[in-house]
Amino acid sequence: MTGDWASARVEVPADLDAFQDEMERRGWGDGLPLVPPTPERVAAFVAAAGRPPAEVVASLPPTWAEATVEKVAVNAVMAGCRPEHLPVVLAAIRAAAQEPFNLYAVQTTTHPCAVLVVVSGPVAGDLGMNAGYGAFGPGNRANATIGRAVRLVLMNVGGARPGTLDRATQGTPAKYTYCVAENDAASPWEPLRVALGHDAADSVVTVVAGEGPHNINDHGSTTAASLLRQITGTLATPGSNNAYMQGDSYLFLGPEHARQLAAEGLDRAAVQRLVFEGARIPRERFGPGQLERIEQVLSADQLAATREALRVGAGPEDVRVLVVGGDGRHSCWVPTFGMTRSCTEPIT
Amino acid sequence: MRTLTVTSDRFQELGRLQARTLGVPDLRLAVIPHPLAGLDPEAARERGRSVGRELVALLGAP
Repeated sequence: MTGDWASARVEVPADLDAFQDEMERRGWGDGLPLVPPTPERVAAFVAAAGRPPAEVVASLPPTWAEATVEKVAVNAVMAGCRPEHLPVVLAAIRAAAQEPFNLYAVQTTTHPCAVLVVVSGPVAGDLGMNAGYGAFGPGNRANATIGRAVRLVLMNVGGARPGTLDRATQGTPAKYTYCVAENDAASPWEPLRVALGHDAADSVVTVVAGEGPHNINDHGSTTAASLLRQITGTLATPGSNNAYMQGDSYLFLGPEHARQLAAEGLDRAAVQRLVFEGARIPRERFGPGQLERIEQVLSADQLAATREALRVGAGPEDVRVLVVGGDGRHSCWVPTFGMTRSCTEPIT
Repeated sequence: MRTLTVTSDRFQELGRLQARTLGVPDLRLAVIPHPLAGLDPEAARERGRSVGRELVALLGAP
C-alpha cells in the first residue's frame, strides 16, 4: 500500500461471527453484519476511486470529523460495496456536506429523515443499478450497499448514532439504506440531471433528506387531471414538515403515471406547477394546537399566502419530479425534513 | 453582550459536543427539562419559573 494512510489498524478476530460481535461491541455498525475492512480491501477501493487516501471529502457533523477518501472507503467496504461503487459514495458525501443540505440538523433532528441517494446518469447502468421494478426495495447490490455506505459514514465518521447524537424520535428503516436510480429509459422527459443543468452524458448524485416513500396508488384515472388530483391529495398531508417548513420534496412518478401526464402535453415544469398549485392542505385538517404552532413560525407573507390552506414548499420548483420504477400504477412522494435543500454533485 | 444558550436535557450531550468542537468548551449552557413542545401555556410558564433563577445566575457567572 502506498500513500498517506491514517486509519488505525485494529486487530479483530478472524472468525466472522467473532468479528461481528467485536464490531457490535465497538459500536461501528448499523446492526447488520459487516464486511471486514482489511487494508487490502480498503486499498483496492481507494485505487478504484483514483484519489489520494488522505484527501478530505468533507467534515461531517455533529462531530465534524474529517471524512477522508480512506475513511469513506473503509465504510464502503463494511457496507458490502464493490470498489467501483466508491465514487458514487464519495459524491454523495460531498453533496450532503453542501451548506444548503443542512447536514448538522439532518443528522441530529427528531424528524425521521434519512439521506436518500438519487443517481442520475450513465453510471447507474454501468453499475447495474435498479431503476425499474422495486427500485426502492431490496435485491440490487449497488442500490443496497451505496445507500448503506453513506449511512455508515454518517454514523461512524459524523457520529450520528441513534439515541446519542442522532436524536430521531422513531427514526426510519430508510436509515439502513436509501438509494435509487432514475429510470431514464422510461421517462417521457429529459433526465433529472439535465433539468438541474448537467449534460445528459454526465452522471450525478442528488441527496435528499427524505422520509420513507409515501405511496400514490392510482389505478383508476384516465385523465391527467384526475391523476394530478390523486397525486396532490397525497402530498397534502398535515403531518409533513414540508407543510410549514418548506424545503423541496421529491415526486417519483412510476413510468405509467408519467406517460399519462406527458400524453396530455405536460412537461416536467407543467407537472411541477400543477402539483404545487393543487397540493393544498385545508387548515381544518391540522390539529388546532399544531396549526397555532405552525402560524408562529410562518412569516407574514407566508401567513397571507396560506389564509385558506397551507402549501407544500414555497413554489413549483420545490416539487422535484423524476421517473423511477417499473410497470404498474404506483408513484410515490418523499417528503423531507423541510429545513433542507437537496444537493447534487457530479460523480467523478 | 452576555449571552446564554438554552437547551433541553435531551439535547445536552449534543450541545456540549458542539461547544467543544467549535472551540467554546466553557459555553454557558442552561439545561431545562424536556419536553417543551406540547405544554399548555401555564405549564410552559411554570417550566420557565422553575429554571429562571438558574438562568439569571448563569448569565451573571464569570
